[in-house]
Amino acid sequence: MRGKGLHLLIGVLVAAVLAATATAAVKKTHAGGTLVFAGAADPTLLDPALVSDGESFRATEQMFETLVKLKPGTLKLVPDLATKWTPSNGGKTWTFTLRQGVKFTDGTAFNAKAVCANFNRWYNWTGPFQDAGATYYYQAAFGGFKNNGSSTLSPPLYKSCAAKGNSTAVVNLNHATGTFINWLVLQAFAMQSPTAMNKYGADQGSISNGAFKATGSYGFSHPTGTGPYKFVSWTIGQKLELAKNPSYWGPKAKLDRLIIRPISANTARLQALQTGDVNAYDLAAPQDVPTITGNSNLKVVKRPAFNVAYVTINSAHAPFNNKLVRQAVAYGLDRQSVVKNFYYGTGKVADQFLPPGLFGWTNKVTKYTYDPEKAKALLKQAGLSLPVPVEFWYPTGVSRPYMPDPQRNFQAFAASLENSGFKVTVKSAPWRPDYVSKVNAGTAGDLNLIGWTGDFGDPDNFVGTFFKTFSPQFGWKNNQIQTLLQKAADETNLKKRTAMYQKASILLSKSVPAVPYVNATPALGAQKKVADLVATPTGGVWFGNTSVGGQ
Amino acid sequence: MSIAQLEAAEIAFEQPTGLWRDAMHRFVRNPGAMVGVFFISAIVFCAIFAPWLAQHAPDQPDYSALHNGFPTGPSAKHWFGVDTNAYDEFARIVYGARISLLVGVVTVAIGLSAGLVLGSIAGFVGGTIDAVIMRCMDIMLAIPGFLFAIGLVALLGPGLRNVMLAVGIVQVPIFARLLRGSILAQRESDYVLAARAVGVRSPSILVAHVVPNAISPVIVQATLSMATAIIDVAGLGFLGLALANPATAEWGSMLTRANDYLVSTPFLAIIPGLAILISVLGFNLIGDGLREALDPKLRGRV
Amino acid sequence: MLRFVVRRLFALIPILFGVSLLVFFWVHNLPGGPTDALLGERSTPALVKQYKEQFGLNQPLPIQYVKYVRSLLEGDLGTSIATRRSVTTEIRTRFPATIELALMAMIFATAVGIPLGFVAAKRHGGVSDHATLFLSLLGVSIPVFFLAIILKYVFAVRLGWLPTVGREDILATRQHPTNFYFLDAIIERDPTAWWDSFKHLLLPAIALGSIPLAIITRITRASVLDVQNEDYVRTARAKGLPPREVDRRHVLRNALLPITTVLGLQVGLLLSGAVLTETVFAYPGMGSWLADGIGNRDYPVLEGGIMFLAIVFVLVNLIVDISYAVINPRIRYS
Repeated sequence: MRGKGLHLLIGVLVAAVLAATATAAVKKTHAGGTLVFAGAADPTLLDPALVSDGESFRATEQMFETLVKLKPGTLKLVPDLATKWTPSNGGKTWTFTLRQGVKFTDGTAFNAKAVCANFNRWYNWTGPFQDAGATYYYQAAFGGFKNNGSSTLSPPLYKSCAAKGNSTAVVNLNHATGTFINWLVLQAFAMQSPTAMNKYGADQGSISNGAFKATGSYGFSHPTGTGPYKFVSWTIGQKLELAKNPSYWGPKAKLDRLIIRPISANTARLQALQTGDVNAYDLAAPQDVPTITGNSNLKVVKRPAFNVAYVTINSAHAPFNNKLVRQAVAYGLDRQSVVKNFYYGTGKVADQFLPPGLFGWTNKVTKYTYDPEKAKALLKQAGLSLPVPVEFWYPTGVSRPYMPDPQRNFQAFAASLENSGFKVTVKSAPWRPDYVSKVNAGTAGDLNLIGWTGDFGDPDNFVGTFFKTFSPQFGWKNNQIQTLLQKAADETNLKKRTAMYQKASILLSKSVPAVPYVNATPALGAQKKVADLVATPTGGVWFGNTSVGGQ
Repeated sequence: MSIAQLEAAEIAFEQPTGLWRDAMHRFVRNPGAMVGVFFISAIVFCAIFAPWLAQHAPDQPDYSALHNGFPTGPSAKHWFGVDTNAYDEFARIVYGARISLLVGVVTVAIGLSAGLVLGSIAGFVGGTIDAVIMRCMDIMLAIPGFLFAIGLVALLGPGLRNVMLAVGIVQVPIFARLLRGSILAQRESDYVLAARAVGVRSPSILVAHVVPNAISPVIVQATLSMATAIIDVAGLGFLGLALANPATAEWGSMLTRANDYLVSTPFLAIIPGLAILISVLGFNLIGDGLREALDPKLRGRV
Repeated sequence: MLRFVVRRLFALIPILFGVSLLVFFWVHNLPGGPTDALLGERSTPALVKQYKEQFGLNQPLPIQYVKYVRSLLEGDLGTSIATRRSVTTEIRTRFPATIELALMAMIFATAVGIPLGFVAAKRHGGVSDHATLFLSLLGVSIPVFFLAIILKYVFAVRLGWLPTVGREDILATRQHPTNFYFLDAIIERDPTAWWDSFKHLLLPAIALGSIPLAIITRITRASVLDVQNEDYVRTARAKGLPPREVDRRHVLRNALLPITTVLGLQVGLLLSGAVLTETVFAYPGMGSWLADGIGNRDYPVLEGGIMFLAIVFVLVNLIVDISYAVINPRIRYS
């Protein structure tokens, strides 16, 4: 009978499924000394000088080192491949004493010649390598190149590099700047093996359809650095495998294998952690933090807050050119409740643009607590009739580390502004394709929600980027503060710089070009047996000392 | 009048009503179809009476219902609880019915009207015009429907209006092809030839004979397309393309947001998903019932 | 027969041409650009301007179109902006993954759908018939991503029976000469690899296959119902052939014909469903790649990917049409 055949077929299918699941349910531990880490996307290239995304940097910072670095998990500048550094000539010359006995993983010696080879490589780039997408950080730090191919590039900061013996490298700049040494902690300025770069075509690239493309194999299969891990293999879109570097100059890594894989959906990353498919993952959504802490096998690893979310005020639009009106806005935003209600305990109210822990932060700034009556009084004092109309923008379709749910923040802020003598016109635009462009161009209304995550431990990266020069985003001019910030960027003495940035922060809190409101602490999720997983403030992860227990 | 003309008039008279009455008779006896009607009536009811059914507005946040930022579950005050923006979930479901129905009706209207025009012209006129129109339809059909919709929404920008337009445009080739095929089949069928032979004029043939018979597969397709439209819009919402203003209560986008909160608050995902399921199932059941009812092969074999 | 095939191939050319025109027009009218996606908060008006200049939008459109078609014919489908790799390279790894998933989904759908439809037809009008109809409608009505989320939550997260993400065990270091993991496992005669691949395919295939399952069930049922009442079947029965023989020799064979016609339609549904399913399971196929491309506004990915899929879709439909003509000679002469 046909029925029997059907039953047989069903039976076979069920048996197959059961068999598959039976073998699967056995165990989910990983072989000794291996850690599987999930990021949100695949790295784009493993040549750190040519990328600008966090996923690529997370991979390269295990293999490559810089002259100086931030002590993992902090913002303190410490030696890495350079043991000493001294500015001279008014800050135009920097002399680096290099660590001895260090080798790249291909056997090439790390010495002053290698350092200069790296600096000169960047300086000498032409053609497609001058594309803003290819060498973003070089251009942000050093401006232009030896032969600028386009007029949009600024004159180069770098002048030359000289190797004095094996262990001293002298870098000459075209003008003095205090930020130079802080830029060098970025992976974009990591020391790479000149031999390997030559051999595998690290300087071969082209522009295809407007995007830079590396055409040599160096960045795909032969990245060669001095770090605690070395490259094993990279299956694009699936996994990147690193192994312990047995000839590392420092304390050897504890893991034998480190595997990084991309999982783009937040929930999928969390579920992979819950089932043991990964040992740890980055970019845990704030609403998942209680779930992770509530699970007895898992823990949350916190990344020190190094971001700031703020409400832009466009001073080019009257009446916001009046300081009193801007202060009224600051009093009219209920920052405390937003941070309390919408950050799941991972945010702290920010009264200034610099995050705590970064030099230049000070407790002496003017603090604005939510005070609708004061706001109304200030508006009347400015001679305005209430309610004052204001156009307020927020982005849709996005979640940022400093602003996990823009819409909620917006609604609460709009409601508190309406209580404080304003009439809010609601506007929104999707983050992609062009919310940020609109904000930058100053065409996103009178107020808008935006934020910033720092790249490296220099206040210039925060307040300098925003306020050092006139920007259409803020439409704001204040000679005193702007001159102070420019001077502070060029000053090379740390103590003097700290004092200058503190003064700037206080002045900014009085002039209120924008209203900062939160420093958020992004979280990573990990199994409890993963020890010494360090999340760096700038968005990286340090596996140098990490181990997975029970293996 | 000649006998032939009388007969032609009789044929014209009998065909349409006989078909519909027969179909209705079979339709109401189909349990699946009746379940579908029940589902859709419930949805329509919710859509019409939303302001009275919902205790709160769907876009007014009630922050007291959030506990440490987390939405609390169902309670006496909020029957389905609140979502992550502190909006009342029950209100959003009920108001969401309006959008889903609107989406279904508008996209099918777009697809049907454009498809009707193109298909009728192609089918009835034939020749080069037919070939050109059909080539264009083929090109549109060469790209899988959902992907085409994604492309259109990317082009036009997010927002419910653009989404409806995109999904509607995607439906056009389907209806055009269907109508053209139907008209072609009818054109050559015996009764049309007979009517023509007797001397009934072309336009009245079209209206009195061809269209009623050609229209049954269209009705079926229309109901099924409504179901597809709701699913496609939900899919577009899942990819983050549907809404410009997130305060709008649309089931697919509600499901997307809930996906991010799946582990902490799973009930937020289940409710809109069920709502989508019920409405789509309802339309599919009705469409199916109609197909069985209008199927000429089953006629005379009840 | 040959004339038929040649005629159909020629008909393909204007269609593909039309599709390329459509895709080109589409990309060149997309709003904004990938600058915000790439730079995020770091974008400045100057940088955005530089990027926009780079995209070569200065030349007249017809010239751009010719360049585009020429690069298409050379097999250059563009370069992804997010990953900086050529679209063709990405497709080479991603497409086999999706094919495996789609095949698995179709096998699931046919293996369960045909017997189900058959039984439903045999018990026409009865409870199991109505139940089957209802279930198949359910399969079509449930959004694919919703089903995927539920399956994943129940079987992978809660019960832990199956893996949640990926194509194979992350710790395995296997070679993949063909990029078809299933096939590679068979070639390498590696049963663990085969189980691994199967485990990862199972849940996504069931989710993806739910729609073809529903459709195949109904078509089989309708088709069997039709064929059962045909004269030649009645004759066979009258002749005294046992019912089982009748089913096997006449009913089944003829009933399966119409299923081939809907295969072309299924491919389209599978491709669309893959975009949503693969995202839920982080399965590295074309679907999740396109979904990421949408999120990143990575226009070359969308342009190249959709063009590629359109070509595949058209070719598959052509093959289906030809095979149907082979089976059913009447079509050839229409």
